[in-house]
Amino acid sequence: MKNISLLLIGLLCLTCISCTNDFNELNENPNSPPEVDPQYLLTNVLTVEADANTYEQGFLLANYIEQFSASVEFERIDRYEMGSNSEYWNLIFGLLTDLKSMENLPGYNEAYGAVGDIMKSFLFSQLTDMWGDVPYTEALLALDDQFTPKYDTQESIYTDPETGILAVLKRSAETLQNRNTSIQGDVMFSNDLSKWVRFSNSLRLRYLLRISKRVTDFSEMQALADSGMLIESNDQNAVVPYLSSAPNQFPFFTAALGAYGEHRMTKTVDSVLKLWNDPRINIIYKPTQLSVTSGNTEFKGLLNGQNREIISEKGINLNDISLFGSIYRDQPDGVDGQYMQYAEVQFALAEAAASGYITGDVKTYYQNAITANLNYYGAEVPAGYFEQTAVTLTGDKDSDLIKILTQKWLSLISNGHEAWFNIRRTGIPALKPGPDNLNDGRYPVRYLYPESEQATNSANYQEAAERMGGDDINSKVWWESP
Amino acid sequence: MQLFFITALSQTQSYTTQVLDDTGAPVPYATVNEVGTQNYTTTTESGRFTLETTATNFTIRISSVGFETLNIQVSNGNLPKQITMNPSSEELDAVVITALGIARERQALASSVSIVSEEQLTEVPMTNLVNSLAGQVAGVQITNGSSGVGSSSRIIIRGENSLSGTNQPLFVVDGVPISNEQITSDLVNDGALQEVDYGNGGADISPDDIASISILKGAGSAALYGSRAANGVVLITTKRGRRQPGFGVSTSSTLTIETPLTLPDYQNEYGGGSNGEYAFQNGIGAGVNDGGISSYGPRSDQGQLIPQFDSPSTDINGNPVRGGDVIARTLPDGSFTEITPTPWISRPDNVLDFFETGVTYQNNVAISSASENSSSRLSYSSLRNEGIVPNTDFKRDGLALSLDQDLNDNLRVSTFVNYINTRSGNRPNLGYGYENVLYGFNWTGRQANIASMRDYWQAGQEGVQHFDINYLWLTNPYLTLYENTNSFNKNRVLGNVSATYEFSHKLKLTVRGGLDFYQDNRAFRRAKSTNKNPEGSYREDYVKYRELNNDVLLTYKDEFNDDWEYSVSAGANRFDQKINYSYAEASQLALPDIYSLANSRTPLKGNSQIFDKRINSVYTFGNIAYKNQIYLDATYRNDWSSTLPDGNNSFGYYSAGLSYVASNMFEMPEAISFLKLRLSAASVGNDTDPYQNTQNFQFNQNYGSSFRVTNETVLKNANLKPERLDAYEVGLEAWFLKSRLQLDASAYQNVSKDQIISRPISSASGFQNYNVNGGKVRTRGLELMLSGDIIKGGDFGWQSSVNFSTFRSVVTELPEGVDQFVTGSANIFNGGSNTVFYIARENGRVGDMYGTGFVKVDGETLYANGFPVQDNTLRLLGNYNPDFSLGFNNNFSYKNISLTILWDWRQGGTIVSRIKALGSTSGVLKETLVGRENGIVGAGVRNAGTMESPSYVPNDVSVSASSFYNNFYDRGNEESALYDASYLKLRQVSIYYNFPSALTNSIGFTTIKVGIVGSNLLLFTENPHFDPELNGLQERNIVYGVEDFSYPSTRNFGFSLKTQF
Repeated sequence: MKNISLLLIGLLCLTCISCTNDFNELNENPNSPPEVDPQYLLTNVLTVEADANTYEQGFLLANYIEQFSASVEFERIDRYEMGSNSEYWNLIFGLLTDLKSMENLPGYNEAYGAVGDIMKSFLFSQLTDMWGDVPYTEALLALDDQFTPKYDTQESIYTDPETGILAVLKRSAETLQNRNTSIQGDVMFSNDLSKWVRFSNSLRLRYLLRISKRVTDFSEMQALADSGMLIESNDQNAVVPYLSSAPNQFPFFTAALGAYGEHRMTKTVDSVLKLWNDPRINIIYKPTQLSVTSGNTEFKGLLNGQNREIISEKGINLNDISLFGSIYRDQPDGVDGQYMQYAEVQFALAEAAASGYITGDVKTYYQNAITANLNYYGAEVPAGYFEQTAVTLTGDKDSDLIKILTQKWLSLISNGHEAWFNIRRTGIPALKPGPDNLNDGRYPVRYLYPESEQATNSANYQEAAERMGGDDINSKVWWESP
Repeated sequence: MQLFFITALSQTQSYTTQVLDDTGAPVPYATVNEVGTQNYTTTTESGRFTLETTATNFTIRISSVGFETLNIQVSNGNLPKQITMNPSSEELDAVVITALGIARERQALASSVSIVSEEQLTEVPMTNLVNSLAGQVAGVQITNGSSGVGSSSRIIIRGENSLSGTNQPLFVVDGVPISNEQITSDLVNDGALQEVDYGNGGADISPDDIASISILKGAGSAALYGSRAANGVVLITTKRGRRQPGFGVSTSSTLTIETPLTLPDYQNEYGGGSNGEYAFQNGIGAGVNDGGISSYGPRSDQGQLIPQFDSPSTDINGNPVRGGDVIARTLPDGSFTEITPTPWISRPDNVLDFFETGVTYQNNVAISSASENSSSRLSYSSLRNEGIVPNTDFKRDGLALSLDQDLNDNLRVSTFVNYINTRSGNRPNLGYGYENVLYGFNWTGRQANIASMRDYWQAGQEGVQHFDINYLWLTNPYLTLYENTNSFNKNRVLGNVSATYEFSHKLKLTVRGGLDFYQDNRAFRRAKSTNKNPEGSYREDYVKYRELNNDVLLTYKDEFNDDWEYSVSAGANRFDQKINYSYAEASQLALPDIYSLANSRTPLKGNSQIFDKRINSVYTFGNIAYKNQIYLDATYRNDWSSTLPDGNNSFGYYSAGLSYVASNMFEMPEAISFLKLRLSAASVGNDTDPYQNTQNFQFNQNYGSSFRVTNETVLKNANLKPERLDAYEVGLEAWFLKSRLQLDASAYQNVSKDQIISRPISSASGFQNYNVNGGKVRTRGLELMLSGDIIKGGDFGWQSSVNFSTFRSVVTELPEGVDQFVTGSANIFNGGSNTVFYIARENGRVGDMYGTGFVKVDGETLYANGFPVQDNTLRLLGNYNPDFSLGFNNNFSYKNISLTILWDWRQGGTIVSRIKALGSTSGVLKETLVGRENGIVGAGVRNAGTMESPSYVPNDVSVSASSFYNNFYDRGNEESALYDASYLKLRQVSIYYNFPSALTNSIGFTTIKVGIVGSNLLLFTENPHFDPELNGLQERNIVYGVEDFSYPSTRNFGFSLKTQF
């Protein structure tokens, strides 16, 4: 029995050793850090969003809706099967979480806070402009056990005097102007906070114009125009370049040939660029293969929104339709990730002045804008360009606005959905839905809410959908409604 | 060894001997009784017993289930050195290996245990032992991967209890757990590298090394194994050395050939193109519709001549090339040389002919011997497979050694070591995308001569540009399989060592250590010019897995009196698991055809991760038996898991069971030979994966030289607590007509609560999932097994058995504030629609699938302009679980010939088919012939009124077939591509001939057995396109109820030869 007792004791000891072992240590994740410097999160947000806005959103989706590209086979968005674009919804909220998590990290300061708020404003505006009412004041509170955020109205998201995007941008610019702290990891402006002030102000101008149908007081816009603290040159553009080396190359550089072939120059852009005798046609598109072969280069666009049978029935030779230009396909770093360019600021001022929201010289703003955009592509304004009938402003408000906004539209190619927002707001350019569209000939004005919201946040989803007049691609958002 | 010894201390004498069966294997746990007295004992595991008596002339009676009771006369204390028992012709119950490797009489079992015998396992040799269980055991559901031999098979016992876990049972070899996990590489559907199935871990063990498999179904029988056994246990007992006259050798050889069982039912009337037109020029649109990839082109076999990708042409210097040799045909000005049109004819077998005849050789040779004190067995198994998919293979070599040695009368050591090497030069890619050749065939014109792609480089472009029918979307399938290989090489050692010390025949201590260790090296090559890898790529994955289990177990066995026996045991276990996973990738090759990480044009991509987990446990169990009538069991176990937060990391398991053998207590009517009632209840806990309690940042790849991190998408939880599963089971075993008819019925209920789920939350809250306890799932099920010796006694014998099982898992509760919970999703590709959501709703079933469909007006599909109107609202598509499954096994024997036929019937369940959706869109499926000439008017209504005041009339708008199918089966909805997953399968057939022993003995063999075997021979199911039994693999998860361009399953025929000498 002595042996047994000994063994039993042995057994018990083994057990005790087992129990007293420190499990917590074993369960500490060795693969990733619990804490980092905020700059690494900032870099992540700036680069990931610039890429998403330009490639997945701008190039692959919005270019179809905005009729910069036409599909020949698969891209159903060209026929207005919009879907929910839920990947972008999820991505934006993920990036917003990155910005929010900076707040609790050592090294965080007022400057990071203001820059983070500018980025948050940009991201939330993307959400509300694409989907309408979205979670805002109750968003990002998972750590406080808020898992089903209510949807705020678009009106309050933009205009709430405390929490609204316009108020936040104003506050952020002020904070940065009176700064005594600095940031790192800013791959967009090289940690130059004055450029962040300009970006913030320019965004505020963009959003004031966005809601211009809904407000009557344009003094803020005037103040911005007079401030001298908007983006004032292409050097101050809010862009993040693609790089020559993977994984930061423009993704189209290595995309399947079929994916490339799905993006054709459109009849719309073809007619406009030819009308303007615009040198940008050579940069944004390629002459058709057929015309190159025959030695007489020519650009040709395809009508948007046709299904493959119609294209085939019409006997359209796809070899005789232009593809996108070298900067998109043959160079890994031919384009930049886009937020906002100098040209857009000048176009905004031109529109505001032409509409009478502000005082200022419409023509100067307009020509500055066009020049800036051409220069951005490395092109010069050809002699006589501004004097062309199709380009020159006449002082007639309606026709001037058409010219301004059509030029602005072209300058926004691949810049996310910005051109679409403008079209929805102004109806310019007046795009005609393609013949095989799946939306009863209507131009779509929003994406559907993600299916995951139906599954995870259904009460708030229902409420918002009803308020918007249904979760439908034809339900107009607040700023678009007259 | 002493035959017997007489203790000097008393007049009592001890008689020791060993009881063997007719094959020379020990008979454990036989009851030994000195006739006429209440002096009982039982044999040990090695068949030995010691009987103490004062008598010198007496009779002992030895009885054991499955054997004829034996009476031995002992005179003057002369007991034979060995006693051989003959198997009972009535096939009375056998000894069953239960948890912790403890063998028990079957009648003592309080919860359901199913045994799959060696014969059932090897009658029709399967390459994956999990597949041997298909149709054999009630309540066990097997589904296969679709990439042929070496695919992973999934096994689910009694339905899914957990909303988020894998629900896979624990695999145990000789009492020690091993890993059945498949650690997949993180590859993406439609990505640059698509999913590859590397097989489930359990499949590494050769069925030839297995003596039997016990399936412990209930949580009750599994309670002793801890959390990982909550979904049941597959308990594998390896073959041990057997006492043979001399030296025993057994061999087993099987040659199996495999042919496709199912292929999509393609149409053969229209070739590629659109609008009835096609002509190849450069495969990207310069010809007529030659950039398109649908099959709505010209009618075939009409005598038309059309330029095609394999039609003759010349290069710019006039040398003969093929039309698809576009680069050689391109003149300096960008135009092309002429292609000579060739006949546009149908090729009904172009896909079938692409597949090859698979060949599998399985060989096993085992030598075994046993002496008085030791036994050993050494076995070598090999498997060589060439799959039906060209240039895919799977090879396995296994070396298994088992040793059992009695070091002295009290101490016995046993060991089992198995070294396994599995490898493949190429495993096929799965999922939706061009790397899966089935995807390619879906988008290849039906007239295409696929065989002409075998020479897969363009003229003069070897290694740089492939040759194809379409250069926009497709990649030559031969190139995919011959150049873009996914190889692996896995070395695994698993084994255990145990020592048992018998202090007395009452008290025994077992110490056991088990190891499961493997390293798996995988390499992915991608040639230049392939669709998603235009520059080629190369990647290496490395997986290292190590699991250690150490146990001690002390058992005390005694009796209160002649009627009451009991035993108590106590033990402890430590489980340690460490997984290393890393990869490195050159995502663009600098030079073609050199697959090295150094040959990278861009910075290498990579990652490495470690996962550590430990569980400490103590457990105790006891059982008490009254005569042979009542058996009571109770177990208690406590685990401490490293994966749960401090304070919540300790959790207990309890189980209790009762087995009541009524037929041993009461006189039964003549017809009833055995009647037993079982009852068991258990409550078991479960932990989670490592690192689920604290929030970390994760690395994103650098932007230039700027470092980037981002948040995890999962919100972790520092207050997780263990999951709990409460299980109840009742069972009835009744044997009739002298045991010729046997019924075994079980009914059970499992309630799983406090589940640790990674619950999807609104991403607007900042995270996409939240690790949380919650949800309650109740599974109720019924299992019936009826077997009968229908004809026996003469030359002709017929045994038949039917097993039936049904279960229903219902979500009875969800976490507070959650009205539904998305447990997973299966999409066609990232960002695309066509997503199936698995959603748990209160009172919904586990396995309910949701997706989008069409707008309905009074149940009729709404059409606009001739096309159905899509509705983005999620609706229930169906449930992937069957209503019931039934296996029907028949065994016929005539003299030396035996015939086995196994049918497998699964009723119910829904499957979403990508082949249906996309094959209709592309026009390759037979059903898309309808309406090609005259258009289609979809069945439904259209709005003849206005938006405001609608007025619905039957749809009367005719649209072209291609437009109709393109819209109706559009990726934006799932509703249009559903099938009933029911099937009836002729699962296994085998015919064996046993050579007469007179003949075999004369040439030195003990037995020679030859047979013809077949598996998966016939399939009856609703859909004409695919085998509904196959499951998909998406990213790192197996997905159910979704057919994702699965490879055809195979029909297997073969020859088998088994010998012993």
